[in-house]
Amino acid sequence: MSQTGEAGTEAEAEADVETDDGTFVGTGLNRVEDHRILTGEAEYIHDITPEGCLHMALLRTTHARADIVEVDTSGAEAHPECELVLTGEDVAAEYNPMPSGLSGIEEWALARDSVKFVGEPVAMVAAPDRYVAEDLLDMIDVAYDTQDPIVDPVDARRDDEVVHEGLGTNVPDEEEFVFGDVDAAFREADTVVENQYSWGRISGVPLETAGVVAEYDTERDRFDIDCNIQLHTLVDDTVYEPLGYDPGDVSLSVPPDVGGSFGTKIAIHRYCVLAAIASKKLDGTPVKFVEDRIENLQGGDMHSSDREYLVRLACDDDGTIRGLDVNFVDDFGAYPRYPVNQTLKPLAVLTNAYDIEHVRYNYELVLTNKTAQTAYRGFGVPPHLYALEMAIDEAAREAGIDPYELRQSNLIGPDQVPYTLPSNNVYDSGDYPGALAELKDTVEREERTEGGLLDPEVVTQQREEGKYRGVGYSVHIEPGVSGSDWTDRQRTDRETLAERSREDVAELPEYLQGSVDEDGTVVVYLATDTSGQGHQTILKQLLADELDLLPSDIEVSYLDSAEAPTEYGTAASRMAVMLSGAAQGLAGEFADNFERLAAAHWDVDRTDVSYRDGAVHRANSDETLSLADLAAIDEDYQESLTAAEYAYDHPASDVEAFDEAFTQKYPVYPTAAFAANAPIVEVDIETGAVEILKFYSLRDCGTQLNPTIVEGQAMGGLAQGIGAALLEEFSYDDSGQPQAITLFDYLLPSVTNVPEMELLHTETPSPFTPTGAKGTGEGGMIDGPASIAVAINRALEPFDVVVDEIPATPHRLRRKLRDADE
Amino acid sequence: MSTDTTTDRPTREISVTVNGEEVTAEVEPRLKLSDFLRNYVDLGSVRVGCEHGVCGACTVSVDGDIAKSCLMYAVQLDGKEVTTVEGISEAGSLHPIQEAFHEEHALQCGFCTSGFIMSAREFLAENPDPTRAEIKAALADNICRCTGYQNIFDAVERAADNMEGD
Amino acid sequence: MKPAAFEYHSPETAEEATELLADLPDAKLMAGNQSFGIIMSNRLATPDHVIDISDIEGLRYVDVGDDAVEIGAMTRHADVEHSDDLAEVLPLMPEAAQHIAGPAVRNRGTVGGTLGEADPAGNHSCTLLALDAELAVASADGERTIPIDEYFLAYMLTAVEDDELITSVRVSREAFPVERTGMRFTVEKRAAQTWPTLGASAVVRVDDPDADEPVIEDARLSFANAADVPLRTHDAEAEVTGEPLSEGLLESVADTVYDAVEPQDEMHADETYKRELAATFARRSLATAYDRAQGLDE
Ligand SMILES: Cc1cc2nc3c(=O)[nH]c(=O)nc-3n(C[C@H](O)[C@H](O)[C@H](O)COP(=O)(O)OP(=O)(O)OC[C@H]3O[C@@H](n4cnc5c(N)ncnc54)[C@H](O)[C@@H]3O)c2cc1C
Ligand code: FES
Ligand code: FES
Repeated sequence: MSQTGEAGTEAEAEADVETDDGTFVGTGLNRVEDHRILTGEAEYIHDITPEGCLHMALLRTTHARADIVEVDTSGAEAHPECELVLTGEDVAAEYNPMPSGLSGIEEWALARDSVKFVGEPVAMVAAPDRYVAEDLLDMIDVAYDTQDPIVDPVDARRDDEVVHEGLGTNVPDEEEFVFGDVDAAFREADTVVENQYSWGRISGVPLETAGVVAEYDTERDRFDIDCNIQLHTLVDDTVYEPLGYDPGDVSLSVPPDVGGSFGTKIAIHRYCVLAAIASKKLDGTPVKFVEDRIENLQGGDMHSSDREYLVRLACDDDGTIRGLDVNFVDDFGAYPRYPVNQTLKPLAVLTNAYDIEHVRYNYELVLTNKTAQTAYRGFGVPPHLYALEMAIDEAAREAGIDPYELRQSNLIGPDQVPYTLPSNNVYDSGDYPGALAELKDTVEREERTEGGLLDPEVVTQQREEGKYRGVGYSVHIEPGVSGSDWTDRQRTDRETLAERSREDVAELPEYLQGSVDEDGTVVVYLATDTSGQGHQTILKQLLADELDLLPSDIEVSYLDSAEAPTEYGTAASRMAVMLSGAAQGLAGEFADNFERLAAAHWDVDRTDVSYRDGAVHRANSDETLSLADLAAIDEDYQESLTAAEYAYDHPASDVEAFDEAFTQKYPVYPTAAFAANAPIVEVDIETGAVEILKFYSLRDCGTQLNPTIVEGQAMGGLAQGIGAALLEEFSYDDSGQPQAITLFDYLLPSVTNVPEMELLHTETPSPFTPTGAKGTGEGGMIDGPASIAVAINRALEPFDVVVDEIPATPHRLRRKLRDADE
Repeated sequence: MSTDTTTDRPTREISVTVNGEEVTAEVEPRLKLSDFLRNYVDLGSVRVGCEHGVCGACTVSVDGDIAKSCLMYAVQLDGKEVTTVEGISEAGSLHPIQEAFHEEHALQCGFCTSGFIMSAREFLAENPDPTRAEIKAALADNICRCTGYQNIFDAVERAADNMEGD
Repeated sequence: MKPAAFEYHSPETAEEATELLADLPDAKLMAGNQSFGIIMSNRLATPDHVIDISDIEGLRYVDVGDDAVEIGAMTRHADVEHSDDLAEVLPLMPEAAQHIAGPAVRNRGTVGGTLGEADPAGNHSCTLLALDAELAVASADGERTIPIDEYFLAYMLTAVEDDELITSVRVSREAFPVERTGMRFTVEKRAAQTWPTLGASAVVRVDDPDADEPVIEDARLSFANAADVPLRTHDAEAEVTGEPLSEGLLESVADTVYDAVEPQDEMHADETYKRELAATFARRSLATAYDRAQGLDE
């Protein structure tokens, strides 16, 4: 079932405003998605309620670690409106466990013998409405034998007690990478700074929770599942495997509107599986489940990176950084899910924008009694950049060098790009020192003058009131357009890896298919899902240019997981680049087909026809065939020449510089968008409260396909960066109880937390991509937290405070300031 | 813990004016206004993001004052008027606030949008010529996870300008 | 997050409400539902009967008399926020009301509901404690008044019985002559949507607002979320009374407050931090209130 979700005609008409040189790419074309959303007509998952649909609810444990002694469902079953009750044993009797990110760990959609985190589902019920379903949950009794939970990830490594008995350890995955001669670099450097940094459990928390409507087809023995899962064509295995069905028999379709995901909804398969099982048990009655917010926050499998870092930096007195040594422990909770490779992605930006040759990178993936991690915007990179930038600040203090100067002098120069990192990824293009200098000029000019936020007089005056202002300058790389082959490194046997050659690398393409309607409209199908990024708009722009059409001549729809080939989709800042390539390819196929069809129709040679301006033209004559004509002709020929498909290969595939990374499964991210940031902060040293007065950011993501959307992504990302830096955290207490299970406690940035943002843009096209665009879906979240911490360090320099915990909450800063006082 | 094991739960007949039209229904008192509007009256613009009064996605107007519909029960609306996004403009056309949200790219995933529009609408009715700070304060009950708010503030400012003289 | 089933009652008067309370077993009052609705959704409360008093017009009023201010229990936060009369005579209350969430919550949430809930972080609880309010409470058996300093008993436990209804609060104006009194509500809230980490109400009356260094005749200082109940710090008040406010005095009051509060650890506010914050807010709010008492605003 394909979904269109196209906008109304009003939005269409205005969509046809082009740039002066007649292209649509590069304009801030207003989004075609907006109209249906603004009028309330958009269909999100919670709007889908088929006739007769039943509602599922889940009983979740309140214990962090316990054996299940007995589940008594008789109370619920006795209720006249109870349609179904299932326990872990019921599921296990007929179905399979859910796929794990690492081998040796079994996870069931409903817990069987034991529970391993607060919020883990132990039973499910189905009833005519959600209210009654929740009544039923109150009637199920579970007897537990509780144990002391494993909460602290650093202690958990001792394996005194283990989360998974069968596994025998709480550290199922770890790896040390040594690039260059690290020991020598540290031995020879004038000073070594060493410090610990902590990154709290922070995640995406989209405004819409996860949801699913599953329907089992009794006749065909297959499932139709509507859900707001992210990457439905890639992670569909997480649904069909537990069900024990072939991919073709489990079709996942994602509504054209999803209320945000940011990576988190990649891991909602538990719900899809349970709703599907329920529908099958109920002879095909559709079953719906929409996660409520408390479920989402406490046990929705959607927390993300939670790391303790130990970073060492080898530095000479003149400020030259010789070596870097990064060690961290990442608390994955009870189950290592799909995003285990969040621990690896930082290798793609190992030294951020600095030229450092000798680097050690070492991680331990630890299991505890907490909810599992999912992906979140930045995919493990934000904590890395934060820890690295803090170490840089400490090195600058140690060496008595202005941190701006220290950063400038170690940046990769414009003459060094394309730049191959020690970890084998390649930065494509960019002038990082230039960007940082330009931003600094701007800020100093605008703000360090009379009336500016950094007017020296004002700064002094504020200090007298205990309010310390500071601006921090830093530059950050946003790795874009992930390859797919490397992502299973942790499941790849080391010997096989050593023997691999370039030919063994298999990348996933981006797939598009299209056809021409009777009236000449080109209908294109995306094989990915979307959650607010404006893919429909961007694809229209790209194809309008490629096919010499108007955006309103093009309609964009979506394929479900059964129709689409396995491909990657919307993640890792891939889409701008992958869609550019796919659109070019598809347009080429179309033009070719149109010409063949016209030549056959006119019975002339192929060279006597050409496609341009939205029609095929016959040489030496006025005759043309419009797309509508071609569609009519195609009816007769039955060769489907007005249909086309194209699979665009990963852009790094034919760039030799990536061979080593590809072959050895190092993270491959061929575009390096970058940002020079300068947040201006004010810290109230008595309360520890941080106010961001203004956020300057100079951003470069290569060619901008749609500057409006690019800017929107940047501002949204920065807001999430602010949330991470100052507000958000899923803490647990010593008994394994989650502390942030409502939005009163998991604090999303509100209107009062996000400052005015001054965004500047430059465009350094990528040499590796078709339009010169770079991936930029994650930017602000990647560079925001680190740069805010840098600014706080600057403001609190007089107290020698360095932000060593994220989020930098008021009481944490007070703790540091208090220690500094004493 | 509820001990209810029967299906004869209490219900009430209510009559509510929804977007100008009278709706009568038999509802359980526990039915949230948000669920009533979405499931009984089929008003999809009412979004549900938290059900605990924080996110503002469910904001509607009750007798002219905005309220979070997840923290009201449908029974409370008996004899009252409620307005949702579906009721603020003629079919096919956009309210100036909706226009401005589109122009300023004030929405991405759009899940928060209805709530912001309802908050902005009440606010601009009371304060047609607001300052930036007043706009922020007026939107303090709404959370957007995608946009970073700046475009939303810009949109409300633009709407205020466009609505002047209306 | 769906509540358990309940019967709904919507009395039109306070008398009807108290009769319902007397007659119905396991009944709970519902005011603005901005807190109650959440615990109902979580099924932390599952009453059989819910008595909706939010629309009782007779309980929604702000009555500023010469001697006293009386506020009906169902007066909304927004009513308090926008009341010109209150801004004139008890500006502490509108100032604190503004800090509660956003306009939609303030349109529904009520003064009586805040008191009924008795969350130690409640804004009105903090201000009314400083203003030495008196609660009027009714049941089917009659009415009584409870001085606010006898009202908050323990964490979210109050002196109101299950069959009683708070009908209004009354603040005597005697202690707060407008021309010589200054008030200030100071709060730290980490984001717009959440409750205060800590709040402070200060009220200062001076002998002569035109004097160079007026002497403080009367001072009130209370805190939100600084203990398991809204907390008034009498010792600190005594310390500043009878003297002009000086930097030195502020420092020593801050020390007193630091020791007087009894805060609990929270996820992002440990006990020490809250003590510090209380001390800081004591200084800041007293200083501003003192300035305001002299007509020097900010
Ligand atoms: C997003 C959000 C943010 C908030 N932030 C703050 C904040 O910063 N500061 C703050 O103070 N509050 C805050 N609140 C809470 C808000 O102020 C509530 O309105 C208030 O706490 C309860 O008032 P209510 O009228 O809604 O009462 P309800 O929620 O209806 O009732 C609360 C309790 O009081 C009892 N009760 C109600 N009325 C009476 C009465 N007349 N007599 C006896 N008992 C009664 C009820 O039975 C119930 O137990 C916030 C709420 C939300 C949703
Ligand atoms: S759903 Fe009502 S405020 Fe979030
Ligand atoms: S646009 Fe997604 S939450 Fe606002």
